[in-house]
Amino acid sequence: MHLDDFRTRWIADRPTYVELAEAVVSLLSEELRRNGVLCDVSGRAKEIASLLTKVIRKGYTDYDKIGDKAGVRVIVWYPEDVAAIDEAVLRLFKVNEYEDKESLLAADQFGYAGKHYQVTIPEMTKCSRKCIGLGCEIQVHTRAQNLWSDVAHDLTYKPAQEPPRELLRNVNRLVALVELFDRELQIIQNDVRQLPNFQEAAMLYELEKAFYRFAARRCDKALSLLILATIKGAFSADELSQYPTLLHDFVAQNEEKLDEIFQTYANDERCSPLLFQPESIAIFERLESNPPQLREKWDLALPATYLDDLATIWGVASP
Amino acid sequence: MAFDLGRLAISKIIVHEIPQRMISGKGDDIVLSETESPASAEVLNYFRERVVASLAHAAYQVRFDPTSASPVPAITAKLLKTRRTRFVERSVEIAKHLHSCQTGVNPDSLLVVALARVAAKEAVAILKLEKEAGVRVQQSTSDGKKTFSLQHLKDLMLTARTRVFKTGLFVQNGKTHSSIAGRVSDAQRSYTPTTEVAGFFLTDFLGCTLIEASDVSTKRFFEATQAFINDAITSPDEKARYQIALLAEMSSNKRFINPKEFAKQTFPTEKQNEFLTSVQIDGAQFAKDTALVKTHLRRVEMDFVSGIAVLAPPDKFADHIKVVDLEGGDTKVEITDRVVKVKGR
Repeated sequence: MHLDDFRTRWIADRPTYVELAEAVVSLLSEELRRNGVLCDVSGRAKEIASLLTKVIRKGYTDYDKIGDKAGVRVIVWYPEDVAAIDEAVLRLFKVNEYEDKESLLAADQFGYAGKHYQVTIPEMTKCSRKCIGLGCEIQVHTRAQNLWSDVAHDLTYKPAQEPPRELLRNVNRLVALVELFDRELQIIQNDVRQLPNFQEAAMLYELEKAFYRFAARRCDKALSLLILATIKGAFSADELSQYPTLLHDFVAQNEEKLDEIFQTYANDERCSPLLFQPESIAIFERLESNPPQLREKWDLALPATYLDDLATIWGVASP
Repeated sequence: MAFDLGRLAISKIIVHEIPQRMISGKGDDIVLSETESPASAEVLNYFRERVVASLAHAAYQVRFDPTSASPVPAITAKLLKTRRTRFVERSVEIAKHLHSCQTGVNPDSLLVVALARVAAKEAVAILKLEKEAGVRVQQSTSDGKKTFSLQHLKDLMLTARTRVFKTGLFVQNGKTHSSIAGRVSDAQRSYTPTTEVAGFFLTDFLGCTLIEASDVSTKRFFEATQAFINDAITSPDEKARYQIALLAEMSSNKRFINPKEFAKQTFPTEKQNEFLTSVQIDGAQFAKDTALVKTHLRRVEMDFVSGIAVLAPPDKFADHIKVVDLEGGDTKVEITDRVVKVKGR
């Protein structure tokens, strides 16, 4: 098959693969959002030039054998969430091939450790019929793995002869840092949440997961911690010790309402900037459970109108 | 029937200008829109927030009065049933009726009629907004029909001073006319209002009546507060103080009772929410009418396990009676006064 034949077919097929990548991103984002898994999901169909260089590099002669025409990348915010993504991929798609790059490494070896899935969209899924049966690659990375995969192309190459031992050690030392970074990050994140005097970090962790279900947006964490430090006093010690359960119950009881509110204000540029912060859910919960205590603590550190605006959005009188 | 204002979503609005009506019959002409106003998320949410803020602050449950001559109940029922059909014409009928109900004391205003939903139930909101004196509302055309421009609506939104005078929200709870639940608030009051909502707006314009009369609300508040004091407060000393505060509130010359304010002035912060939850009064305040409780306002009565009772006028209690909580649950009451007489009872 001539290179121009690859080009002609890919120009004709590419729009369908763009649709496929968008459909996989949409299905996966929605599923992960509903499960409160904090991550970034993006997708693309290979650019024409990129597909052709791959054909040249790998010596393809059969168009149908080219993989990764559509690709989706999931970058988790917390390394511990990789397992939740695995579950979501298995729930949503038909997995034709799976590769855990880490499992291919020997115990004393370091290297790229992402997870790759070759998937197709099942028949009953709501999406364009054209996309059914076409292959898409999903790569799951931590943030460190993502960084490594981006820079790895500059560092790893196949020279005619084995590179010097010192250079190989340097590369291995660097890639070991990726694994170490993820592990240490998870330990630090867990430790921060458990600090006895930093309860708001633990609250924020729970709130981020709840918030992400309704609005997949990044927040200003410093502001979140400031507000949570202020309103923490509106909870009893008992309520704080049971905060994950308390929050879970509140969200379960108000799921439709929260969904409506975040959708109603999604495109409203004049709405309160605090609405699209995870702690808005904590504030809504206190507006229902104990408005006088919330008002008392709020007024000690924050402008009254910010709380008034959120009370109006939640549909209650300002306390 | 109470509904969750947080689940209000407005989908369409139309604005009409209602000028002041002079006693002489003179005055500017009513400025009617011929098509609905262009609506962005910002505009719709602005009006959502105005409705919520006014109704959450002080709203009263109302029902349509079947004997009313106002056309608003029938028009509202049709809007709830048929939604978009003849929305403009029906809103014009509402605007003309409001104009005819107003007198010379009612200033220029804007009438906004909105189609909405509250938790998937059809709803209609009617708002009377302040129109700044001297500002001539700019109308633009859309498909050849006059309407209030988006720019004007945005100007209105940006004017923090723009007040919502009066608001009505009607929600279709069932299929019948009588199943329409209504809430009305009125922020445009005189310094000494005697009713919850101005009569011309509630009765003449909207064709509604309050579901609960003031004397019933007052009695319910009084009894619920007394029950809270006896059930939720353990200290006899505090019980006595709160009971006196309740009687003082009921006997004061204030025309309205605001449970939230009463809670703030009477109870410590940690007890306020418990009190407000137990009292469950709809709306932030209500007109005070002590007709049904006046026999209970003359004396504070303390009953003891032994059968002893202490009766005192509320205004003399603090000066002459000292209540001390003793260990073990007993209470010491000291009365400092002069005995006038002793009699059998």
